[in-house]
Amino acid sequence: MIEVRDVSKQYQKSATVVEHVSFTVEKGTIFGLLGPNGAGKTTIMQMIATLLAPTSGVITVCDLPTTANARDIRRLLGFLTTEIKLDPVSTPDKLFDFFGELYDIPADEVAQRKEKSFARFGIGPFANKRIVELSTGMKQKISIAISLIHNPPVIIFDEPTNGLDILTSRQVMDYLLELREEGHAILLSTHIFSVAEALCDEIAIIVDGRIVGQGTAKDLIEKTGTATFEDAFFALYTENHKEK
Amino acid sequence: MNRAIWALAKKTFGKSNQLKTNVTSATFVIAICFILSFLAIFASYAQYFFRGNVTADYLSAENCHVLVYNAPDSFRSFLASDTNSDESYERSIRYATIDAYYDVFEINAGMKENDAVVAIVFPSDFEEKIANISSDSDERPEILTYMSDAHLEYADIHENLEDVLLRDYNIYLLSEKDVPIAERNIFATDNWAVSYESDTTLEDSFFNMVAHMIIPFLFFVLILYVGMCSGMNAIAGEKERGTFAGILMTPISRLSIVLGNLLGVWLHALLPSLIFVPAILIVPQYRTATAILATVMLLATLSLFVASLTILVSILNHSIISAQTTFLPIFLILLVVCVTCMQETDMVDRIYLIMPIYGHYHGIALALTGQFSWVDGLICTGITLAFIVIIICACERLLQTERFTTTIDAESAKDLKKARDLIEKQKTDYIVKPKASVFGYAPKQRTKPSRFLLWHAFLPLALLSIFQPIALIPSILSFMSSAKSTEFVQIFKDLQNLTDIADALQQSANLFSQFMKDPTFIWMMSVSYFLIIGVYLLIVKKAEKNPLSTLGFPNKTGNKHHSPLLSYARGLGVGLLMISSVYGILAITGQIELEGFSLSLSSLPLFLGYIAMWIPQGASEEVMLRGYAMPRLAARFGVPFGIFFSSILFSILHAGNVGFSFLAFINLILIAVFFALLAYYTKQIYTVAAAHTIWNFAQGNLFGLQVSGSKSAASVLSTVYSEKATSLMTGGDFGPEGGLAVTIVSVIALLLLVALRNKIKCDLNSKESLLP
Repeated sequence: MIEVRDVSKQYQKSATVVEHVSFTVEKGTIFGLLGPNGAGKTTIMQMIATLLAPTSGVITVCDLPTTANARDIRRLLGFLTTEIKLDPVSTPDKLFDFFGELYDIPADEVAQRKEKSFARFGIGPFANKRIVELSTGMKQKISIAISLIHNPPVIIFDEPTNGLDILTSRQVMDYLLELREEGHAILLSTHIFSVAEALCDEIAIIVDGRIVGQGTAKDLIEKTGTATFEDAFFALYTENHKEK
Repeated sequence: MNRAIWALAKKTFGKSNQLKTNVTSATFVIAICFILSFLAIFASYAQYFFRGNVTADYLSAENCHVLVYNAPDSFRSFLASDTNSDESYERSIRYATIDAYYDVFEINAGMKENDAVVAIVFPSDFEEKIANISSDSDERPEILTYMSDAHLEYADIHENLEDVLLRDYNIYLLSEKDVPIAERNIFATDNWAVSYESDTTLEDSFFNMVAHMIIPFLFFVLILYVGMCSGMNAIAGEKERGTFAGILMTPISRLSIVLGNLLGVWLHALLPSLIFVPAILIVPQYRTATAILATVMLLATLSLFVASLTILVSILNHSIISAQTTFLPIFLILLVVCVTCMQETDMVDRIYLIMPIYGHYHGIALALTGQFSWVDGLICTGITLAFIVIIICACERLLQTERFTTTIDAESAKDLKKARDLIEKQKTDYIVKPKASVFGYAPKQRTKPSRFLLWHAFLPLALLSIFQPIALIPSILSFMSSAKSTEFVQIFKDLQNLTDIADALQQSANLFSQFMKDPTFIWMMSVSYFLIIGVYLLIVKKAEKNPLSTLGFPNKTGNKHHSPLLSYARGLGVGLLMISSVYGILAITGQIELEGFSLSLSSLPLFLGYIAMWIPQGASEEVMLRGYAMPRLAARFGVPFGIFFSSILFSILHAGNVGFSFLAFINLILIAVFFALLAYYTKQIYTVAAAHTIWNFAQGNLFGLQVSGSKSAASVLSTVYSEKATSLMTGGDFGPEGGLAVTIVSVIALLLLVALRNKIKCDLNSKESLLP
């Protein structure tokens, strides 16, 4: 579903932030990007989401190259990132309708999906409250509901459990597993080991814009000869990170 | 797709009510000020419209009178003796006096009060002028006749007045006064048409004026203000709240985003003004189908144009406040365009009718008064739509580019931080080692060299061009209501007829010398120089957060020989010595001749005014260049650069004066370098401020010479150039500063200063004086 082939990204006049990254995310799997802040995870995701153009390499989503079919790909993608905020003075109900119209989903279908996803996340009682009055966890749940309003086959979640309490994060993780069962291809970025280990079918460890290890959590532990996944990550990190 | 546009439009339309920022309030205040000042103008007009007893029959034949202003005795006795002329004249003539005989408004009002259709205006010193007529001069006093150009039925009265009455009066004067026979005409006549009566009724002309001056203006303010509030909140607001990326992630095209927002802003800007349209219909004169249709069409395109501009600005910015700041100049420019349109109510060139903005303003006015041309209106609409399409395309392109699509992510934030660190490092490096320290100034922040230089080059220029015209306002007002306005108007009339630049400059100088004779102007100039000094004090204190000592006003000096007062006194001595040497050289070489004392008691207030003006004048120029610019430039680029750049600036500031020449340019640089070095050595600017003041004062008001191109009106001595004077020595019209005498004196002064520098250089805190 997502194919990233030898992709590099360089911002104007500055160092390369993503170097020769390649990976594939299959249907019905969760692929995790794990790395410290500033490793290049968000840049990779934005390139897949057509918000940035790669400097070199090719990215395809459902076999469509991102540079040529941006609008079609956006229809196939659900993108959740902390950088996309909800309008603070709007209400979940209005926002759902608004994005429904932007995605050109028929009104009755929007109503149907709204009912379903509001029930799934328990948004119902807050549907007519202003976003600004809601808790961080509730906002995140609404963001997830809205980013998936068009039922996209490909889902990109950038740090979905960041800043959430244990309960809400658990709800989000369960939901991700549900989505995998439904056959969505999911790309997930995180810097929380437990989340990566519990959810991901395959993990790529990113250090300084390069993939330094890729495979299941078990593979990575074996490869590095360490006891836990956390140790495996640090072994790979110290081995590959260069102080600039 | 259409649904998406509509959804965005609804969102944008619903959003705009909730924003309140300082810039919005600032814009609001500006708009209110404009409306208030405008209403004030309107009120004065309205007073003029409804003055006196306006009755339908006030112009009926039996009520028509001739109004004579400033009638000299000879005219009255002529009327009494004149048996030939129609008796009705004597019966219908009324007398009045007026100071300014070009004051059309006053004469208008007078004519209305006295039910007069024709007015004759004598200069107040008519008899005097007649007595001074000589055969070798063409100068004649001028009698003005006024009549309403709208009432041709009274044209014969007017003609009769000019051809018969005044001709007879001329003959009468010739016989009565002792005037050479060759002089056939004792006075000249000039007739002026007054159109206080248009061919329609008074009520109509009132509504005409409202249609031209008030209604379009209110529409503009409304559309601009609402459009700005709404447009800035649309995309820039979305970016600020972080919700824009969510919209960008949806599969709608960038064009739809632009169009959706545009539609929302457009509706928002248009609706309030549309509500106003029915209000206009209350006035019967405006109630025509053309008026309504054309007004609605023009309002629609105008608000669409404004909406597209706001969207463009909104896309270019990342926050509401920055977008509003960007839009504020556009807002002001468009308001100024409105004011320009207001002034051209009749005979508008066709080009203005088809141009956007101008066309909208005039179009609305003409539609209301029933003179609208659909062809022009449609061309204007077409051109506006073309502009809008171009703007929309630009918006779409801008949204396509990468940097508008995403917010700053972690990586670029890192780059940003790196760049910021680098700048911080440079800053600290720079602050640690400024190239030189003059007056103890050390910079606290670093700006780009180009910006830095531009700031220092344009700050004095900008302040002078803001504050000096302010000083002109009271003078112009008092001038226009005084008898001198005649002279003033004459100069303006002459100015319009001139084609040669040199002549025009000379004439402007005459105009300026008119002002230089006015104590109000001199005192206001004094105030404006104080204000300029105040601005610099504020800049240093508030913006730079530096002590005033860095401006050359040292704090308490431990050394009593360097107290501000003593330093100032020494400056007066130095300046007087220098300018006296110049005067001496000119006198010895026979370039000038002393005519004697010329200060009279009557010119004493003016003389005192000059003293009050030269003190802040000298001080302000020193604060600008030696106090502010020099130390700051020196810290950045070294002392030589600081002195040289500020000196060139000083010279350039005088370049607009009459008679400015290359030698004047060099001389001013030499003097400026002298002042700069003196300030540098003495570590303060009291001395140079005094020297500057006394230099100008002594030149203009002691010796009676020109000061950088301007001649003062009150001087102790009167000096004239002798016949063998050459402008190379004396500087001609520019005054001695444009001549070799000043070159000689300033070079000698400079050499002396450099030679004596070790004696002059002082330690402000040492107890001992190094000065002789």
